[in-house]
Amino acid sequence: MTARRNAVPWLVVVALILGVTPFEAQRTPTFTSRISSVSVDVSVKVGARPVANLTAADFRLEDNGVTQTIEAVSIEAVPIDVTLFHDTSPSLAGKIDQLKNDIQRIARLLRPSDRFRLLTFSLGIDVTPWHAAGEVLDLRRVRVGRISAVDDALIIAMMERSEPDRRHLIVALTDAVDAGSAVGSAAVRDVASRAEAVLHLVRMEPRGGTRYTAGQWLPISGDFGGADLLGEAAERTGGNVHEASSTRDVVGAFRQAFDDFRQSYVLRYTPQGVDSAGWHQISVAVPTVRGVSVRARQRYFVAPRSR
Amino acid sequence: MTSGTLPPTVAALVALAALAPAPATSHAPVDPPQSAIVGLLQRYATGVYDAPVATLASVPNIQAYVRMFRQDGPAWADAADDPAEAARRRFVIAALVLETTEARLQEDWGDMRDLVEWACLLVRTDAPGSRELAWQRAALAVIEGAYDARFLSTPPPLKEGEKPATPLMFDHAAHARDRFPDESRFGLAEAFIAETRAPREPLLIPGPQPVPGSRAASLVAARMRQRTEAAIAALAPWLDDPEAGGEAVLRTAYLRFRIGETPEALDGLGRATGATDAFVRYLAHFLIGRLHERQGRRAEAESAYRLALDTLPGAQSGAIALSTVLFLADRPDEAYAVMEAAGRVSPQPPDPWRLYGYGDYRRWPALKAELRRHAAEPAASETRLDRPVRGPR
Repeated sequence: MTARRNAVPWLVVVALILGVTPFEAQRTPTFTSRISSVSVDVSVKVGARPVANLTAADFRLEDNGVTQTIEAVSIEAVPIDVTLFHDTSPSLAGKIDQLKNDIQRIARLLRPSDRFRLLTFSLGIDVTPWHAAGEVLDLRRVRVGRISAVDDALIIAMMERSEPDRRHLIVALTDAVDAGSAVGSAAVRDVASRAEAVLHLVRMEPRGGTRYTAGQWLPISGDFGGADLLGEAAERTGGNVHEASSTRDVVGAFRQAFDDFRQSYVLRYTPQGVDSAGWHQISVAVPTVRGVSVRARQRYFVAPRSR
Repeated sequence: MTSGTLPPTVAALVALAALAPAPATSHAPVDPPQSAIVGLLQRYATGVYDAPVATLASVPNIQAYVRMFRQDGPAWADAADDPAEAARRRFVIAALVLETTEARLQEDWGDMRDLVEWACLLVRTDAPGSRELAWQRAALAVIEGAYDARFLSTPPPLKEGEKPATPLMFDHAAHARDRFPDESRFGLAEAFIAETRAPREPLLIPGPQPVPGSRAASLVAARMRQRTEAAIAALAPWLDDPEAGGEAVLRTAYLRFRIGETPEALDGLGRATGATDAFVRYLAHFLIGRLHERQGRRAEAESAYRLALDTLPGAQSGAIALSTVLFLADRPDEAYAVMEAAGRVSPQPPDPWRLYGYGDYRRWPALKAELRRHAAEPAASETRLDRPVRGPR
């Protein structure tokens, strides 16, 4: 599953992303200014085109209905951790060599400061350690999987503490049809509401499978309505749903999701006038530019001080 | 010679051939030399196992090797100095067929399954013995791993008195059962086949269903009930078996879970938590958690998932289920900690929840070791089994 992490960085990360209360009590005052801030990824577009050169003055951000002062706006500079979940279930893995080629091409799109890990199916969900951009990926073990546990894979991808000063992007290339997960698609949607990462879902058409595949155990009747819930999950994180109708589109769809994320703004603010513990509803707008579509995480959660 | 000197028809064919695209030499399978399989069999017979299997796992043209197994294998066995060695060689062929099949299970099952049946005939040439028992156990594990119930057994008719829809089935499970009628794993395999025909769990989110009270709804319900009862009946003889009893209890309880018989399911799962087999104990706790979670009892679900992870630390399904329960209870730090603890377990244990539907495939590593042990034994050491044996079907 996930690689071992140093405990200190993730403590700071949670503070950065989710809020601060637990750590104000536990950590030294040196960190106070950092741990009290919240980071929000915001994508601003007109049509498909990102809107550039916005400043803090262009944004209006409300936290639980209270307008906040945006302290910093950054774009592009923050390194990105990319989790690529490539559905290798029988319905999608008709051409495994093509699939591996896609993964290598996707990995080459990253910047030097970015990192990359891969989730695929076998008899379980295989998770690689984090790779630095440019590192050669060993894909010899990637094969046609025996499970289609899409929901479980998304839970693993999201259940990852972000590191300080890094952003976490999850791109899921899948037909979004789950069979046999330990959890359901409704749970994925609900976890997404609380997750730190931004999830982009690239819905792929089945590749037809292989001619002689073995059968697949399906413990649960097919969760065909789950695709809509997974789309909702992506939107709750501030991500989006993309379509890829052919193999050629896969890398393109990833590039679109990656560029979308890379060109999104990171707004930082210190919540004022709201209770820190509990759920926070976020609303972001860009009133200075007409006709823009704004996508951002909709909620975040801060655990009570006693925990 | 030019085309001008050829008869017109031949000249036209030559011209067409010239226009045709050149074969894609980089990807076109090339037939291997005819003796290739014999070389691999000889190596396997002398105790070199991994290399021949790796070779056969990676060849692009497995169909050619399938043909060679059939054409060259028996001649290699018959060339042995004495009948006992010939029998051992036949076992070596059958063992290598199984290992190759397992290595290519996902991608090439359709190419390999006839060969498994052919290998079964090969090992059944001799009287039943410990060597064949090891092979039949391993073969059932591989076939169950392929999740090909139609290969294992002819499907029963949907209605009473109706003939089976497709008569050309291998009935492979019956071969093993006929040769070794007392073997509990083979009895459990037949129950497993019945279970594959029973209904799955209902959706976590209700999907399209027949209108309640309609004729379609009652027909579906009756068929599901009938298939579930058939599977439960097939498991019943094995419930008290020292070797297979724990798994039979677990599977019975999960069948009851699937048709909504919650108290009976919980009772059975509770008993299965006391099994000696860790696979059974893990799944019993995991399914208790799943059942509680479906009924909204999150605290009970959390306890059960924790017990599952105590049984098999690092198991993916338990870690995912438990961390999700915690995360949705607004306890993210505990949820992250569960996933991180699972990630630190190396190597990751095989996950019983993922393997549940593949029967004895979970036992493949041990069964493969047994195959190799028997393949290495001198020809004269085969143990004949003192068991009632019926002839091959």
